[in-house]
Amino acid sequence: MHWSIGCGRGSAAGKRYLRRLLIAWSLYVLLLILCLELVKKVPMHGWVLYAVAVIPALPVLAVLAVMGLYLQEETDEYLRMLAMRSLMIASGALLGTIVVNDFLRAIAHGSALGPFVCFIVFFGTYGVTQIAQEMAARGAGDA
Amino acid sequence: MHNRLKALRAERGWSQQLLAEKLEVSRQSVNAIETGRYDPSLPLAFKIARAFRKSIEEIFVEER
Repeated sequence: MHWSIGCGRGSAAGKRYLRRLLIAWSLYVLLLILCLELVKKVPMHGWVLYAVAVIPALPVLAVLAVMGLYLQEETDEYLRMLAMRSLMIASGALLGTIVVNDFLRAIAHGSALGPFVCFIVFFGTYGVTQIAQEMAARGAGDA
Repeated sequence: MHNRLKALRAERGWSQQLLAEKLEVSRQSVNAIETGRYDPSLPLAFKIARAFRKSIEEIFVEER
């Protein structure tokens, strides 16, 4: 199976997307490890702690920008439609999770979502949707 | 929407990859159009028609 599921298999925009994605996720892992180590070893509080805590989020924001850039640069309308569909489903899953949790908190005194739940729901749904679309295409004879 | 893409391609002995190159799209796009999973935009439909030297109506048929 081609590893670049969905987004621009083989298209120039798809290749740029994958390269940028790899850089952003690598940066995320690196910054996350660095920040966790820094917080563990150096006592900090106040705005400094806030600033350090936000640093690993920046590559994740960059990933969202990379996704947007792909949609802008992809000239193949079918591949663009597949990426759009995945993003719409992932956004729906994320919003749905937040809304349900909001009502649980407001009415049933439920607890707030844990850290990274939104992150997992969005990117997890996006990935699963891409795989599902890939499998559907293969089922229709697209090897 | 039904289309005659596969038949027209077969008449000319073109592979999906060759047609994709002529249309400047991915082979996945050609496959999706052929199998009816995706209806192309008007600009792409015109491009397809030009590639086969046919009118859009000769390639794409509205489902009734």
